[in-house]
Amino acid sequence: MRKLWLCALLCGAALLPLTTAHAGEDAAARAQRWQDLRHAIFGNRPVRDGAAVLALQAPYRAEDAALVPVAILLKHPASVKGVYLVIDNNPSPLAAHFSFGPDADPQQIGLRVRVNDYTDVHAVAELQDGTLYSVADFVKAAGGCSAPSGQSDAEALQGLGEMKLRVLGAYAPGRPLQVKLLIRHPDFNGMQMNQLTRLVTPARFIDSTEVSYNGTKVFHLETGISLSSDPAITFGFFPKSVGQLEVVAHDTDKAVFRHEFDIPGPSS
Amino acid sequence: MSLTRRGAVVGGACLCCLPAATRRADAVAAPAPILLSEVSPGIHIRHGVNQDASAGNDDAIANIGCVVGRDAVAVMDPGGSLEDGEGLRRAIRQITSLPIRYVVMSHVHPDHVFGATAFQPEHPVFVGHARLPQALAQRGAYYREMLDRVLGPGRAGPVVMPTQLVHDRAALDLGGRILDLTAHRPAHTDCDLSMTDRRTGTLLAGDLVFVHRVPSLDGDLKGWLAELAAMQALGQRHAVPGHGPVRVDWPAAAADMTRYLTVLLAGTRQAIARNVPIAQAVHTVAQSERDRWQLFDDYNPRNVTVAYQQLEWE
Amino acid sequence: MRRPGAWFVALLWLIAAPVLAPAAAAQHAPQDAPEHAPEPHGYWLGPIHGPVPATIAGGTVLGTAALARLLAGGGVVLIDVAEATHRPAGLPAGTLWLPPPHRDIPGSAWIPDVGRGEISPLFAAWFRARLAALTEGHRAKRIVVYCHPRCWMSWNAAKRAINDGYRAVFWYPDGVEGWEHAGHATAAVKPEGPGSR
Repeated sequence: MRKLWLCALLCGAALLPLTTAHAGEDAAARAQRWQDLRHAIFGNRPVRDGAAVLALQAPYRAEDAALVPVAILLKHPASVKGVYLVIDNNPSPLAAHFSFGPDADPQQIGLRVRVNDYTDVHAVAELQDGTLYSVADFVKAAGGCSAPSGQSDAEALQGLGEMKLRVLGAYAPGRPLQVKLLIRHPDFNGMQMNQLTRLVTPARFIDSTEVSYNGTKVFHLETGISLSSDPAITFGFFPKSVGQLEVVAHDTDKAVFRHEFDIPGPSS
Repeated sequence: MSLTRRGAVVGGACLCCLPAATRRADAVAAPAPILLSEVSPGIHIRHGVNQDASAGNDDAIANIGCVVGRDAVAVMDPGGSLEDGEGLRRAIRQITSLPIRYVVMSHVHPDHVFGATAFQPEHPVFVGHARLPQALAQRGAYYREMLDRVLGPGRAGPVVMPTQLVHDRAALDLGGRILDLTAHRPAHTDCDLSMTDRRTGTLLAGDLVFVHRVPSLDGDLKGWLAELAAMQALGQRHAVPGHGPVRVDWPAAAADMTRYLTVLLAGTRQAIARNVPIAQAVHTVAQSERDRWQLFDDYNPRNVTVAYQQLEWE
Repeated sequence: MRRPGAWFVALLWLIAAPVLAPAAAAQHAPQDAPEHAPEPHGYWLGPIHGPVPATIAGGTVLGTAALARLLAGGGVVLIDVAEATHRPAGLPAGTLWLPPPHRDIPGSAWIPDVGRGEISPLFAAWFRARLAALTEGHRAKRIVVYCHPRCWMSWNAAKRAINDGYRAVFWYPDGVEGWEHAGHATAAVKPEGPGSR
């Protein structure tokens, strides 16, 4: 049975049933869409097949279209200076752009994203020499951009900017360490209408995050409205010695959220 | 604080992954009459099929019905679509001509409340949790569009707002028959109401209780366990669950649900502690429960997703 | 999923032609079409989403099956007036905003916003010229106007065509979603308009 999907709030009008781009979309249409996006994001720069450079893991069928976990694995992390994540059929398709610093260990990066309709997802690695390599995966999900929040706007903003760091491995000086950073933020995408007030909740989302360790950059991350609310970013870095992981996140309202986490942290 | 911000669309009716509309093979005819069972004297319930919403079932997938007093009738819940609600209304009219004074909307999920519009000609009071208007404002239009896609344009019906809100407790008098309503803290959703009939001691639990069909989490996992415990202490002998047989023994019927939610809680906490990523946890948590619930594979992964997001901040 | 279901037969009864007495078709829902609005005197100036009329004076209302039959006969002008997706306010200027292509009934001209209650004289003149071109100047050429369910834009736009003197204007209120629900194919389309309104 074919599944019907819907993106009711995408047009900013909550009663407007929306695009079902996948309904008639075939491989040719998806390839064309990627060509259009490639040019919009990378201009005329060639984007090569990245099977030898990186891999992308995404669920084939997402349990929750507003929270689709995506993992990007880099096979030669030291040679990569940045990674782009593109959700082809989202209206704002460039979900994330990482730029790595000297202390980054981007073997594995995890993000949670909103998926609006059945779509190809592309991960593009930019090597130190500027060349681009991409891989793709297909995700079945829909409605992620329009899924209304379960809370009022005011409730959703409670605890704005709170952060938590989960350390996923054991600290050893000079050895790479994987962590998961959680940030409280509703990431309003500007496309959700409240039926009672008939107002669209204005966009307000985290658009950049800087992570550094003992003052040295780990990564700079730019994100858009395709990022899920309450971002959860999994990444690795090289703590050469004990110290602090500093996170500075900015949102589109110009709010700044800062946290420092001791590494190694207190045992919990 | 622990309410999920997303996954709100899931709910008791899994509208995010509704199967494509399956057209009825027969030509248009009067809808099949709704069968009401009298589960206790004066309490009549229509059994909801344990399926996801489809054109073939008109979203008649929840247990809905009414309580008949000396002077008036209370409906709880009004049904999953315009047609489901209308079927319920007709069925009630077969058994009584007393006015339908109250339509109790147990929570925001469409399979329980989209039939409300069918009762508007009766001019009842629509009763809901104090948080129901906000929940309907946030999601009502979205649910309607989703349902229209599955059932056919126009078949979902408009969203009806409650006119009487319950903040903690309320009592409805049907003439010599009192119904006690409780507004719960976030559990199955953040706007759950349950109702007890004083005369028979029957608990109409809405989706706070699932039997046979796997519970769906769209509120607060720890809260749901707490509310279930409180409901078991009420001393009622029978309950009408939102999904499952139309009448179950109480509190015996709570045991399976409590076990499932406890396994979900413990399993998700463990996955988080072991740094199992969410994409993997949805396939591994609570698998011991898999053969004990209908629609397990459709809802358990989603429940794990909701629980994980709530618990990873612990 | 492929063949139109029973429900559409019922809808046809309800809306197939203004001359049908609505009560004659009553069989399904409590008030059959509990959410129909009366026809306004001029164009609808209120919120564009909500209950729409069951009729359009000077035109004919179509259900999906009737539309499919009409199209099968050929020689029909299809006009989609669905809204275009707008960039959310608050999206930073540099952010890439590129919604996937709008899809509608194959062969349609997509003219967003021409169904608004008030349009500029420039836009109105452009639309009249566009209609003349699409119909090759034949006032009896069949024109079908649609957008989405419960959306006034297509009613208003159909009214504009009627007021412009076209004699065979059809309004298809179930829109793209109704078309897809019945299992028909859609096609990607680019919007057109005068460029400034």
